[in-house]
Amino acid sequence: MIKKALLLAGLLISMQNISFAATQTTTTFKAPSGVQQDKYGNDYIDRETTITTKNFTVDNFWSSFKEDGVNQSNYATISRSGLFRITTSATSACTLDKSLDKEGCSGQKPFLINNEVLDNPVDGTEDMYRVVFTNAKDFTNNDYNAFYPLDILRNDKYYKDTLADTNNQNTAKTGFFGFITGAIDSLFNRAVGIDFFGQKDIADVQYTPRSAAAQERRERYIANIMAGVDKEHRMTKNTKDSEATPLKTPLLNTPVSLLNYAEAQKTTTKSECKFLGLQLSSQGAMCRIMSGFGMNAWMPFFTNTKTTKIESNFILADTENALLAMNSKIDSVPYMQNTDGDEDAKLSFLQNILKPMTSMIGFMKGMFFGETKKQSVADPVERVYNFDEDKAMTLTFAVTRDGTQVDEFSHFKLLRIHSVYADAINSCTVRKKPGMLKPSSWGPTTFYEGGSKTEKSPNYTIFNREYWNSDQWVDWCQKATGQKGMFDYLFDWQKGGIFNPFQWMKGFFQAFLNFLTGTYEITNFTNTVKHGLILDLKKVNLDPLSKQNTREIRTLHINTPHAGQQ
Amino acid sequence: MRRGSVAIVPLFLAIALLFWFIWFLGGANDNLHKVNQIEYLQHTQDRLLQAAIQKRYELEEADPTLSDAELDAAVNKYIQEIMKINKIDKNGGK
Repeated sequence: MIKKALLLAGLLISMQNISFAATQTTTTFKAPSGVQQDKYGNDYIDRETTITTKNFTVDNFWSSFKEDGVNQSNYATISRSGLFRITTSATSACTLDKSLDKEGCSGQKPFLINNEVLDNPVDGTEDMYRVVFTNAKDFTNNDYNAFYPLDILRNDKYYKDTLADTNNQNTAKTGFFGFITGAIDSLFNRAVGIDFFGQKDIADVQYTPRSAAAQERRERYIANIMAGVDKEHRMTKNTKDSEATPLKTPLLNTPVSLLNYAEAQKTTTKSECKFLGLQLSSQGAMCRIMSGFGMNAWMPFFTNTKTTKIESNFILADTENALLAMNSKIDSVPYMQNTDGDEDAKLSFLQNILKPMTSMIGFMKGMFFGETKKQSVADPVERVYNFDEDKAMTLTFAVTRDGTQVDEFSHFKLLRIHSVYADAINSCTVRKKPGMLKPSSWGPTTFYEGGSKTEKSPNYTIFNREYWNSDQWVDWCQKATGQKGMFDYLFDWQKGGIFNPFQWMKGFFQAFLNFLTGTYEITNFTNTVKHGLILDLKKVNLDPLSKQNTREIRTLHINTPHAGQQ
Repeated sequence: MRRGSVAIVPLFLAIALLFWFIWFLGGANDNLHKVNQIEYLQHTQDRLLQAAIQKRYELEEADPTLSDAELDAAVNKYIQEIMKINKIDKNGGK
């Protein structure tokens, strides 16, 4: 009985409660807008959210004393809705390293492409592009498979070494600057003398080779790749509230211009051997013996100079190294170790001089440079770095239509880096001097690769009437230049090798053979060591969920759709 | 009737006025209270709007396999919990 009474009482109470519905809040999302791009090239979507509270009750105290007063006020619906803009930028380095300064980071990379690139995916594969790093001076409005380096201003504090500031020694090298300057110190060769291409166009800096300004531009460029352009100096595209950033094609003018430095990337070898003012064949016995044994050092009237001029395209190496350094950070894979690129950057002056000499034979031009006809020698050396698509670095490129301004931005995932080394011979000038057994001779003849000139080969005898075409001659020149003479052995010894008399004797014997058969003097040999950089890119929209991207939520407006009393 | 009894009339009036005034103020106070409560609710809603979006991304980040409906439900529940802590959502609706 008591139980029943309690149950009834409970029912009555609960019935009384039912008369007021429970206060409940619901949150709803509208489907987001399509992905759009803001003026800095960041992706954004707009999304509306509504929070509605139903049956909101307010207890009234004083009204209880009123005759017709209600002790509760009930509001059917109180609701707010807001429109939010979710902006995503590809700031991989900055989101990965918490110590990096957000203001010094953005998704924009200092690279420019033509909009033709976007119309020409690789083999019709949608969204996949293969682009080649190209010199600023080679910029054309309609190159559909190239990207170009850009010089964009950067706030000093986002890349300069702060070690100079003694008060700040504890913080230096730890934060953002530390990361960038540390990378510049360890991965890039600071000793490189940078000759800026187009230096005459420098408006703001007095040009001197190896100038601080030149060095600064280089470091700025590297920092811009690694951290992205800083917030203050971001490029803009044409929108309602911004004007497109103009591009200065006359190089090296602020704020944004095409950038180039150390452009020549040429290796020229020139041999000259003189004895008492007489020109001797540098391939000849006399010259080899004299110079090979180092006798020329004591004979001022005898000169044998072998000029090798190489200029490597450091902007390309810097670009490659910077990209690899960032990917190493993302993947925690030390891509920079034991790579050609790394060694290249760190080679000493002497090593740099010797590099083309020793590597020329092995390195060949080939498929990349469209020189497939020469199968006789090795393939170009290509190193491919593959990156996991999930973790791949996202790069925001500036896109231009006519080369005068930044028209839009495009995001790409960096899937692969091809680093290609190959050489291409431009020309070789040879002349034949009479020898003991082969008295014929001919004057300096220049053979161009693919040229039509033919000449009697060094193997030519009355029994073997062999002629060589230009290609064969150029090929021969390449080998001859790469062949070590005593002079080169001397260099080997200097490099820290062991003094080897047998090798010297070998050189001596070769020199003697030349003496008998007559010599072919290579008076000029121009060789281009090409270092190519190719990126395999996939066009993407930025994923707001990715850890490499920065997500920013901004309120556009908030309104009150419903508020009413019951 | 004493003469003095008339003097009590303004006193009564004064007391009546006082009661009226208390009643009046009380009503006004209720009104103010209501406005205050609604403002409070709306401010809470304002702040939770962005939190809801933020939470939705966080949930999606943690488990990308969740469907839109599941995410909406999860965020809805999250906001409801906050409303309960803030004594806005009430079980039983007293």
